[in-house]
Amino acid sequence: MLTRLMFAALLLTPTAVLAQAQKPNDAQIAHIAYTAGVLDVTAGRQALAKSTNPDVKAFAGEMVRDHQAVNDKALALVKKLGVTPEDNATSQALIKAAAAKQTELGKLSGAAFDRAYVENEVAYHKTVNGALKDTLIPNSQNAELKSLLQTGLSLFTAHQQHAEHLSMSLAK
Amino acid sequence: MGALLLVWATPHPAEAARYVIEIKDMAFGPAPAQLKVGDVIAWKNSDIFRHTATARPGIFDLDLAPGAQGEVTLTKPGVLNVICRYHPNMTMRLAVEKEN
Repeated sequence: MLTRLMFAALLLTPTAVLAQAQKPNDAQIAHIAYTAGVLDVTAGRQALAKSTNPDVKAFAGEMVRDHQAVNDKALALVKKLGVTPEDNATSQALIKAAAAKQTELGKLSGAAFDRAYVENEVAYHKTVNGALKDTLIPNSQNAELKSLLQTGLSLFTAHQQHAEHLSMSLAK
Repeated sequence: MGALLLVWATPHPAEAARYVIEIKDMAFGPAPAQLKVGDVIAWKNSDIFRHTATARPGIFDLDLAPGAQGEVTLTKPGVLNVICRYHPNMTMRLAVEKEN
């Protein structure tokens, strides 16, 4: 019961969701990183379908392209290493939180959608950056996985900055 | 003396140099020092992401798929602020001097 309650609470705060993976193994880390990428690709596709703002669409296109690129690399790596990504509570919590956000954004349109999408991108990238820095990179054992996660961190950091700039320009 | 003056008046232009700037891990490689008009810069995208090397307004804009390479010839002296249009946090500054 306590676990269930904690889980429910964690769903409300994305930072805490990722913080729960205290000592994930490489198979779980690969799963979490891959899932985080897939979810941002899905969010980007939703924005490409709904937005008419060229800057928002360009940003969403960048999210789809970059996260697919890093996930393709991740898939090739786990295949090479013979690691089967292992589903885990963190990945599941991320999926549930993203699905809820997708539904919420689905009800918005126009400038309200653009602002909410980009604001969520700022928050999402911040959360994943924190998890990469504090949990996923330090706990990864395989050097190639660690290196790919570091590439992911550079990418997520760049995306976060781009999202922050975009968010400011949309607020004007 | 006349011959000497003629030599000074028509200096042999310095050989244009060619530089390679590698784009890797979401960053531009270091800017070459002492760039001159006429020099060529080859931009090599060694990253797994698509990038651009863009100097505005309309100076150059190379769209580089992963693994792609593109070249620009520096045609004017001055400072160029280069960005990646897809990742605006990726920036670099090129200082281009007049041709010798």
